[in-house]
Amino acid sequence: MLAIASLAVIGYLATGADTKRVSGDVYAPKISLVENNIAKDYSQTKTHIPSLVALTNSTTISKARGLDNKAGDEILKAFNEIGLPPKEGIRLLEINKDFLGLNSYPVKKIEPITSIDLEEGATYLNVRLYIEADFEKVLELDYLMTKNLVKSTEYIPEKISFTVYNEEIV
Amino acid sequence: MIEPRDFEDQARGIVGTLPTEVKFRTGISRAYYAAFHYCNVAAKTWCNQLPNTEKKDKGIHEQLYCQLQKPSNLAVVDSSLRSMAELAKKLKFLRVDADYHLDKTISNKEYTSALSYMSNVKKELEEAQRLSTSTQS
Repeated sequence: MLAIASLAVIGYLATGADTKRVSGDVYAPKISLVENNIAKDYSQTKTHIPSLVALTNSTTISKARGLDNKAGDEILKAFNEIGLPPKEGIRLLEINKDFLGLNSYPVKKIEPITSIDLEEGATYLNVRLYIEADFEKVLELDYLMTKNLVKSTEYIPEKISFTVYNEEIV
Repeated sequence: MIEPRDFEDQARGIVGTLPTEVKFRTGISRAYYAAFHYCNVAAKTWCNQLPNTEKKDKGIHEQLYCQLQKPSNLAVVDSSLRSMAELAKKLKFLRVDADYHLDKTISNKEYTSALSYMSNVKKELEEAQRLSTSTQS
């Protein structure tokens, strides 16, 4: 039986769950944490829709993320449970994956956990990603993610963070 | 006088060919202090003092990481200094388990993680030194 070293990444994703309170002023700096085209496009205009937002069901989500259909269903269900529109949740998940440098790792499972309302009006989503990687890779990834995190000009030590856990899954 | 490198050598060499939990724990503790002192070197070289109001309610270690997370006097090294702080803080959690939580099992995995964090803290210090030198020349 193959032992899989997995890791859970807990990150805070700025969400648009409460669009009335999350103004452009608050939202844009959070999104600009991600130094990629999706974020750039998004901060320029909220009506720009990256292709990922067009995802509508678990099959397409699964296909896009390399997950099986069951995992896609779980994502949809979890996003619905915390009141986050699935399309928005998936898009933000993508942005964070890019940001953290996770894109070359197969995601086995994604668990949105809680949403947290912060004083300044932004809503944050606490997410756990399970990624298949051996122990050495987990250590490398931890370092890579740390480097990516701190590169941001909007680095806020206490608010944007992640934790890597090494959990043996058999 | 000893150098952070001496703690690093101790951390790497302590387990040897007869690994035991107490050696893993001691190795993690030494690795943390090697990383802590590498951070100290960086702070003394590039960081500004924290205002007294920010020192309040913070221990020496927390103050050090806070210093590294703030903009330094050489912007080009800021990213490396932040990495050092983040990595050392993670290593600190392992060290607390190693030194205080005797009920937890500490294995080669935690020890290897600690060595990895320590190595990467040092790598970031070396990167900052390289950037600093190339900026001056």
